[in-house]
Amino acid sequence: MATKNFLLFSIVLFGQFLLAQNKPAIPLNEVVVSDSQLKNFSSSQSVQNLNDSIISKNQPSLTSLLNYNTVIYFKENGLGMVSSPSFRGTTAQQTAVVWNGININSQLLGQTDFNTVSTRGYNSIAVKAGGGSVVYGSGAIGGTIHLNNDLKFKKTFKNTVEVYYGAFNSLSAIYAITAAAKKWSTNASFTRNSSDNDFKFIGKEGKNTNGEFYNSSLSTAIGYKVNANNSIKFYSEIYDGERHFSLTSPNSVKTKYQDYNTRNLLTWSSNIGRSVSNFKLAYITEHYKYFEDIENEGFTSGGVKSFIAKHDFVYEFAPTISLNTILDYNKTDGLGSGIGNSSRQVGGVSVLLKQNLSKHWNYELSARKEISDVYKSPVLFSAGSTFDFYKFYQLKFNISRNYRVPTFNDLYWEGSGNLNLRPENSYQAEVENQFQYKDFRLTAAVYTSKIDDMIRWLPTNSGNWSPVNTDKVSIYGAEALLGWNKSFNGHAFDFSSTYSYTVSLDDKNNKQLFYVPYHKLTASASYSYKRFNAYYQFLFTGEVFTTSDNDPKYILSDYNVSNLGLDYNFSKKDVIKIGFKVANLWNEKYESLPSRMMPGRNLTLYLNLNF
Amino acid sequence: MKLNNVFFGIFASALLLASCSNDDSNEKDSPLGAYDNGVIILNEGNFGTPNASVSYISNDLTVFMQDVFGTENSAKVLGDVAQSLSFFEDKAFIVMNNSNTVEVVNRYTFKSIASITENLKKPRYSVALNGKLYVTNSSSKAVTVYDAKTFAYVETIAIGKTTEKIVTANGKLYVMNGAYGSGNAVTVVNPQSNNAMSIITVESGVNSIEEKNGSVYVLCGNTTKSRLFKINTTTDTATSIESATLTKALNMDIDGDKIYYTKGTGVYAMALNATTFSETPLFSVADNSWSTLYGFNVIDGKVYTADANGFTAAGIVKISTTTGAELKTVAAGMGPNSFYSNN
Repeated sequence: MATKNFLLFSIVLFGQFLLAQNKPAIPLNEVVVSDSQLKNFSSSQSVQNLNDSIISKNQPSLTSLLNYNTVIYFKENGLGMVSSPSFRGTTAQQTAVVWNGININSQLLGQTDFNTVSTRGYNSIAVKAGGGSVVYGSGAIGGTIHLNNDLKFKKTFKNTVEVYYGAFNSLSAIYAITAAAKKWSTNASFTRNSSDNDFKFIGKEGKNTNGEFYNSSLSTAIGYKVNANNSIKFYSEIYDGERHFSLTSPNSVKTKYQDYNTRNLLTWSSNIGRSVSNFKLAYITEHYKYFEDIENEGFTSGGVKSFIAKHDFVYEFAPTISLNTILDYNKTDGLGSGIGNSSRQVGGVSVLLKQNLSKHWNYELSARKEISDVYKSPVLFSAGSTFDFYKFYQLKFNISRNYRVPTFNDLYWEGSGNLNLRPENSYQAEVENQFQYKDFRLTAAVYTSKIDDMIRWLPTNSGNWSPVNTDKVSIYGAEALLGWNKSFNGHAFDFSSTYSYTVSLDDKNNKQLFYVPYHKLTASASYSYKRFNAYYQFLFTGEVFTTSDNDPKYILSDYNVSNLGLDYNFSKKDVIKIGFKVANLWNEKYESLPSRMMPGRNLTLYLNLNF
Repeated sequence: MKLNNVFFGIFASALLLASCSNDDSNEKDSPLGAYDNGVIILNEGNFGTPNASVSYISNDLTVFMQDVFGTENSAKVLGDVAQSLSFFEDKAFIVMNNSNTVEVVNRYTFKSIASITENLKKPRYSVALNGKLYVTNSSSKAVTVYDAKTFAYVETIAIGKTTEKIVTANGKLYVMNGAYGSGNAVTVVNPQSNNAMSIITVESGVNSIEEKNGSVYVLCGNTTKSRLFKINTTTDTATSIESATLTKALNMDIDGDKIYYTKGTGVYAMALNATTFSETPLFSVADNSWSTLYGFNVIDGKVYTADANGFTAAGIVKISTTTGAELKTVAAGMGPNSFYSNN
């Protein structure tokens, strides 16, 4: 077994070097992105970039950032509690979170809990709608969220301190440093978030109990240019958090949950002739502890360690044609309550081709096949094309097949796991229009997808619960992203908005999937004059069904939530900014899951320093 | 309170009379409330969401009512995961697992009387004996004891093993030490001798326990066999019958002189004194990707089955004869799990 593994490993990783040729070097860019496929092989799909100024205007959780700025709908078990997305009408496990190019969805649960990702450790967060399994693997069905630490090779020395303090004793503190020169670059940040989260309910007695949480994360990126053709980068992140789960019945046993996740990635990039080779090694761990009664010391726990080796090789046949092959090997070991000691290995090959047929027209083709010792995987593909009709109008088209593999819990859970599960399977197509005219941008997309073999845990006739491939859904929808900005005489206006219409039908009864709203709208506007800055955020979430038969008795009603912020920079040269933010300005009573009330109007004060 | 009950009695009898015109011969006692002379259906609800509910269907299957607890107690929420129910005199005790409470109601009117919370840790089942209420707790692996009239906490009996279903026989408590396919024991607690305990080892996969004619019957089912134990409650020793061909038997319920049980989608019966398992089903319920037997009871010769409907919409309750002829089908609440005769 060990020899076989080593052989597979060697073939996967070293075979590709033979292809390289010796031609003049392609100069390295000043900014080095960690996820080159997102930059170079995503032109036929919509990618929305959220830069650091948008990141800092939002609460530090990934839920809050994406909820107010993208079309993604979130189900939150109350503020700071378990949070799962629905992107383009899909389930929580059908959105992949990608950290510097590596899929970090939990191997145990198949999803990322968006309240366990602190946004302020990244300098850019991108949201790519639609399938991406060829490059990003399991779960990239509804879309992918990209958390990136990009490195700048330019003489820089910058320190950032941000402190936010507000209602319910909520604290968020960030220290970040960026130091770079021509040959090396580092950025590091430490973030701490905590809250008592004991807000009073609106319109009924009582307050949120047992909802307190804290988390800390340390994020580092280091890059070194060895010579003109070679560079080494290292990315690392440690996340440590504890949440008490807020109660929905006053006398319930109090529980809490701890997460400890680490992510490490080493990349060696090298330019050989007309090729770029990226050799990546990653080690990702996740670990949880669940205390089913906080008054007792007993807990259940589990963890997964993943070792990933990837060789990403781009060859430019001509300035207009490039071929990218990715060979990867992934070994995952799980250990914990319920799953015992289990392990799986996956080897995969992806091939991506991009050609510019003319100055205004390109196409992309890609495919992936993987071999696993546990489940059978389909051949995945993606094909897309982009046409620039005029300077201001671009048309894009993309079709793809994507999948989600069964999780460790699905496969190995003692007495329940089902080793016969097939991966969830999805086909999708989308057409997108992009307009850009002066200061105005509009993206309008329509899409359709079919997903089958969806995995769900159900009670069985043997008196147990077990996961099965059951549901099929048909989805179609439309999205619009709007942006406008204008500056004159020291005044600057910025407006952006997203809207989505989503129909996601269960093939069994032709009813809308529960917890998928038909409508969602976000809008944000900001105005600054010299060193003064004001911003307003708005979120509308349409009503959702909570039962599969769409029983009108159990509809969760729609809600409008607004936030308002003001700040002033006292320094001319650097940043010494003091401001405040009022969340839920109109004190809307709302919940995204039944009996999971969200807080009313609340105030946060903040201080930002850059020096 | 009393006056209220009387009023409700009148209201309910009017309702019953109005709805079952040619059924006079069956009614031997006048109903004590709207929910007398029928079957209580417990809908456990979604775990983590306080949407458990109680439904009621009259013995003649003509009157069906939803959300009985909510209707009678508009200011209260029943809670999160209604696991089980037991009766004592005119009271019903609804064990709310994830809400960590026991809701006490009048069994005929379903008016709330009290909520027991003290020392509960994820309660599962309950039973009354000699004026006391015994509640099993899965998290603390203990039985907590309350006065069944004042609802005051009395004491805690540590069991130290999975603490699940509980029945009484011969003045003693029989606690099933198993759940979800694991466990192979029954702990006997004798309240008359300072809660002295003994353990009866049964077979792995212990899943049902019931008292009948002074004996305690225990059903165990696993992947290699099914075994039925009969405990002599004087000596607390057990005899058993078994089958290696009918494995994984579940859901034992004794009605009259018959022991009913299920395996897969099949419903089976055998005599109380059977020496072998019956391996021919009386009938089978629909095969779905989810459980169509999430709840199963046989009451007065009628088979009540609950299809949990994947816990994504109202569960479907079917009532049929013991040969499978359908008598009535109703959509109950979320996740119906058990049926209780309320006469």
